[in-house]
Amino acid sequence: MEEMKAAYPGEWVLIGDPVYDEDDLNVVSGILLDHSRDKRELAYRWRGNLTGYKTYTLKYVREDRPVRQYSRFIPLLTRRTRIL
Amino acid sequence: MNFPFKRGSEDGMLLVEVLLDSLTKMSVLLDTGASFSTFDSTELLMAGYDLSKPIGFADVETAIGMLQVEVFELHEFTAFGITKKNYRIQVYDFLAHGLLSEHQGILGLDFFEGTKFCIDTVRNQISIEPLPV
Repeated sequence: MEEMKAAYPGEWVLIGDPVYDEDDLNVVSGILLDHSRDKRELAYRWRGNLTGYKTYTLKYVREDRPVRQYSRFIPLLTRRTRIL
Repeated sequence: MNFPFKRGSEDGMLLVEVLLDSLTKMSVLLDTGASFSTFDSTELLMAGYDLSKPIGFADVETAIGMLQVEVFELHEFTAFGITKKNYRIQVYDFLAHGLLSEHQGILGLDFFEGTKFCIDTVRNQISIEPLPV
């Protein structure tokens, strides 16, 4: 995983059969299947083609700069007002 | 049962790993202030869901106004050792709306219905137990 982080900063990496740490929170290794700055591109490229793996995950490799996005994100999802 | 979570390095958000359809692992925010769980549509696309066929729509009130989200039913969803079949979620296109977040959704309060849970911010773990109906 450290090699992926070094190689693809600012990109999404698609990892097949990821291995997690003992807390099941952080990917420590896995099979690098693909990478792209465009997450949707990966989805179109791989949708339906991942059944050969037990699990997979998409992870964003953060660049070394501060990001505070929660304030933009949280307002989305507070209260459903009407089901159509 | 106790389950660990991690904190966002910049903002202290609670991040947990969840499993969709026994295949897709995702990092999502744990947000008990959100009524319903909401995931990025790209994750569903990748998992093989037909995004053109939601089972419904819902209006969501936000700090920036009203938004319309799509509602999908997941075949199977697992978090904190609890697996739910036919779990209904809200779906939103994060990318199209400029939400370039590294997490892939929000786990809302609805997931915890019928449970007793406690968030321990010292040990960074959540204890959760189903309650008898």
